[in-house]
Amino acid sequence: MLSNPTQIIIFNKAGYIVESSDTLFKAKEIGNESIYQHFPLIESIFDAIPGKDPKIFPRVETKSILLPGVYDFHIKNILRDNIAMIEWKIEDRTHEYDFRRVEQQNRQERIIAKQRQDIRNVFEK
Amino acid sequence: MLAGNFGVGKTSLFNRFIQDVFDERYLTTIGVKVDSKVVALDNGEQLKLMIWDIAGEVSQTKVPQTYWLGASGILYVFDLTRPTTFERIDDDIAFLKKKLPDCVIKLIGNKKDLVSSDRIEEVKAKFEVDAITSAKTGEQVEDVFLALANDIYAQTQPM
Repeated sequence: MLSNPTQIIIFNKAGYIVESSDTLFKAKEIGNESIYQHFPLIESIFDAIPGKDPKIFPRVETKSILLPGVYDFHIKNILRDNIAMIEWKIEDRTHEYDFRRVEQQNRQERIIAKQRQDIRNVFEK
Repeated sequence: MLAGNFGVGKTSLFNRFIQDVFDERYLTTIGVKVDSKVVALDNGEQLKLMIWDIAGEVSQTKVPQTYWLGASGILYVFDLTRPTTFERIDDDIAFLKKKLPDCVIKLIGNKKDLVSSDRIEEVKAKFEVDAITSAKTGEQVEDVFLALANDIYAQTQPM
């Protein structure tokens, strides 16, 4: 089985990229900006990640044109030259999740329509 | 964080608050979207709210555990037009209070534009609702996020 396209980024507390595999987008496209400006999710969790075990944030949709699909974020605290940093693994699962989105949309629309019909039936009795 | 059943209008509230837009179409959320907005608190200070719009679940126990990391405030949203979306309010709020004991939680009845005032009174009599909103008209949307921001700020201040 082919694995999903994956990018690994290491960044510091201020949100500046220290290293990137550039698989999904090129780090230089962010220029001198902090990644927090592009990915608010990352900013909001920097201080909330406990320990050294990776935490997985599934099915993340970003507003950034750099990551226009749906991704799983694997985020881990690391030490680089004794400086606290984060290793951010971005797994592109857009194809799989787009398929799931269509299924979920259809299923939920059916459920909501049935719930509305049930309410109408009660009032019509 | 916006939590609650699917189809209750979490994303519509998110979009109304962040961008002041509304879309009539229902488009399911598959996971999580995050955006931020700086708000002015009652005391004149500014607070940057990081807002998480998560996929609706019938039960909040099914939400991926990592989504709750670092949460300071939750708007638990239900749909005033669909009683099934408030069947689990008590269980869900109890779950959230246990999971996030320091978190500010507000109960929001959404889609006010689609129900009568009698209906709203019925719901208010049954639940301790913090706000009745309409993402479509924008009614109470800004107010409820501001109230949440003020409560979060107050909670973080030393006694």
